[in-house]
Amino acid sequence: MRTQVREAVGADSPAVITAFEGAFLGSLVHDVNLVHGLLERLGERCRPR
Amino acid sequence: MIGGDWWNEGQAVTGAVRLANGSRWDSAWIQLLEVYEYREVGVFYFAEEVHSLTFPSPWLKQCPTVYEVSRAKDRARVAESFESYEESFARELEHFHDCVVNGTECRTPPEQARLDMDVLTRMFLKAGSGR
Repeated sequence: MRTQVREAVGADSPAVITAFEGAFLGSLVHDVNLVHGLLERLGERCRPR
Repeated sequence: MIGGDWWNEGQAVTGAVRLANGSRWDSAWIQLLEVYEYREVGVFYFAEEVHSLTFPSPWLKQCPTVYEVSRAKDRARVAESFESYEESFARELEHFHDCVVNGTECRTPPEQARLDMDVLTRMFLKAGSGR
């Protein structure tokens, strides 16, 4: 997992792994997915720039 | 992507996105292990209405998911509240089971997951990794 995190964001300290893998990808992902679903229902697509 | 941050050794994160229509989407996730409290809320703010969806803790049984809509009427705030006891977490697992067993089309296909991961990665990168 450390290797995957380092490849994705260029760092792999314990805090980075907790923040990126745990908080962003493991927890906030549920709400990001929910918002994407609701935006799609509203006809608003999200494409990050 | 217009903003991102994380703090408290990675136990708290936030990110902000500007949508194509000009509106703004803010997200935050904060874990406080010493506090016995769970809040998960999504709110959409429109010019004439506010819509909110409040989820209960997934560890509590028979707690409703609450959807509320408020708007102005006759110079007053009017709010409607809808409570559902169909537990969203259980429905999520039932849908996953249905996809695996019956081949039902998944509501969150890999393309959606890829977009989620992309948005979250950009939020993190916006914040930087130096803490």
